[in-house]
Amino acid sequence: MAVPIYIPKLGMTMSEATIVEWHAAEGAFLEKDGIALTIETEKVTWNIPADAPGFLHILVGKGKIAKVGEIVGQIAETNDELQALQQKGPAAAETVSGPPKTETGRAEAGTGAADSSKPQKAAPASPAAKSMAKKLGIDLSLVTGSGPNGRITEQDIVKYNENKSETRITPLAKAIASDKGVDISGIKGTGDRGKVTSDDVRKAAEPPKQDGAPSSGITVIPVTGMRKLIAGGMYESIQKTAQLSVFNEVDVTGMLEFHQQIREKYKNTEDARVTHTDIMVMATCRALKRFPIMNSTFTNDEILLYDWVNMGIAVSVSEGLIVPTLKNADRKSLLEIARERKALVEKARDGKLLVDDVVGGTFTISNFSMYNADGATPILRRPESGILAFGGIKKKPAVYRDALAIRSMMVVSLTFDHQVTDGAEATQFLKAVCDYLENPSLMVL
Amino acid sequence: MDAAGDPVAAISKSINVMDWGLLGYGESVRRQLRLVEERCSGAAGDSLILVEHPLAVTLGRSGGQCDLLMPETYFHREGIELHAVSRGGKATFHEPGQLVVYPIVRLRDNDIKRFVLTLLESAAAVFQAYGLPSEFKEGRPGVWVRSRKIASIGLCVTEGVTYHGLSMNVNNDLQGSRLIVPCGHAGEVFTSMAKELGASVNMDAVKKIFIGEFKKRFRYGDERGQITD
Repeated sequence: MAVPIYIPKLGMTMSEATIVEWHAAEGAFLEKDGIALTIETEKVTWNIPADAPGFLHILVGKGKIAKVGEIVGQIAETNDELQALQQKGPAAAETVSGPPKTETGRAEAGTGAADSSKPQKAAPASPAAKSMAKKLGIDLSLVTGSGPNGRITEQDIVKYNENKSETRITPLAKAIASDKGVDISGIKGTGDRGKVTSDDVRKAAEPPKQDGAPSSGITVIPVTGMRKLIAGGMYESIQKTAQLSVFNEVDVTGMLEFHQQIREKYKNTEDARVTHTDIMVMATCRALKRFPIMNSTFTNDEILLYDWVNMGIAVSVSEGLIVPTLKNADRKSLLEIARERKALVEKARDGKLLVDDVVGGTFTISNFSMYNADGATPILRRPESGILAFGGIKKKPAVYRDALAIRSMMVVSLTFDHQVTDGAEATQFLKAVCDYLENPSLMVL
Repeated sequence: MDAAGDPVAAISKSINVMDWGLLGYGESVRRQLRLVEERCSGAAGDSLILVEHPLAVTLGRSGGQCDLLMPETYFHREGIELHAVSRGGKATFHEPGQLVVYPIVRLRDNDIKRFVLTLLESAAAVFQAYGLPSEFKEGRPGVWVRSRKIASIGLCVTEGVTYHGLSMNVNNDLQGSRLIVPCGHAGEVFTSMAKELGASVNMDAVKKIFIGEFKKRFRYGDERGQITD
């Protein structure tokens, strides 16, 4: 009879918990009282042990939420019972893909006999070391003693356990590795927090591909570093905000003329080289002062409006994208904005940004006019509530002073958090930004 | 929010209080795990650890890289410890001047919510002793003062024994808070006792009050031995 594993009630008001980790893979053998899974409820993780020894059948997978009392897994007494359970309900977590009966059978033998595959006789050990080894499930024959005559001390057990825990491995993977004679120390785990899974071991056990052998045609790029950071941030943003994008096409002929005038006036002053991005920063700041709701953070219970504008400016760097923030951008002149933005961009490209340079943003702009795309639906940078993207500037036929003319046109895209405000206000804000770009002299008002 | 009506949680009548001073985060986890082993096997009784950590950021079980505001390389470059840990919750930070307490306690029952609440109330009583009114939020364990977060919690329970614990911002400058999305809540503002009171606070006095409140609320009798380093 299979023994159920269910979510315990850990307090009067607890109704559900998240499954953060199964400590064994589907079909793996669990010892009685060995930790089967970890659940989390309101800042507490709780390890649930197996009530009986047997083979694990997972019903609710990692990352899922389960109700108190819900059966999330079962422990089968025998291999046959396991297979019967597996046929009844799909395993939610790491499924052993079509394991031949013998392999699972071997896995069982492997788990129990993994240690016996090293038949050396154990060195003498102190009683304290023996008790600790028993507690930690460590085979003394695998431990090198540092005491007199190779006697194993408590310290040796601690050391062995620390080293051992460097390679985290699922019990099934361990059994397969032992069975196939695979050295697990060289395997890079793909499971939770780098845990080595049975698939990793199987892959490591495969003979290396010969030259000229047909490849799968798939190149694997590990997601690490900045890519991982961006991936996590973007995905979380989509999950936790209600994003809506609106677009406006704006005649920026006036902005280009304004820019040209500044360039000529300051052409001999290198540190006052104003770019289109600087004008966009200033126009956005002016509009944010008129629509403060766009310069805010949504916190579930409250909306925080900021008195200041810390403008995030997306900068493309070799590893990806980083967004330094120009502090108090609303209180700065165009020349000050230009100088500070230039310094931030240089720091970003040289990898010299400090925490201060990237935190505290209240709004973000992304100028991708150089990429020749018209519009975008930029993704909010939490906890900000708005982001503007400026597209490529193109000469187009347009109606200007009631006549057809060739004008320089640009699409401005705004994404905002619909939890914070609605389309009416957001489009008015977008219009205000566009008005400033169309007629930059309005910015002095 | 007062749970004082019932005896809470602890089986043991005595608790060994230890002050580890300023200790690296990684080493403190190793020491905690040893005490947990001893508590599980019955070789040791309940312990309450008080400690301060050098600047460190930790990610709980539900935390991920998206809870960090800087790339991992930044932490390596600046020598800031970054740890993925087994406690519940997302990202938090530690730094000198912040009092961190780790109760390694065998629970009397499975009511971990009440345990968390009682632990938070022990911290709130410390703030109250300095005239700072504490606030709690439904479904978000922690302590706030004037809507700013002053204490954070994250625990792990194995074989009925608790570890990890609670951090209280006493005199710390909150620099570490700028490295993370605190507990996954963007826009959260942190504060400390020193910031709220406008002057730094005597850490030894804070520790003493906390120990007293903790023992009172969890019904511990005499402290076993002296506070040891």
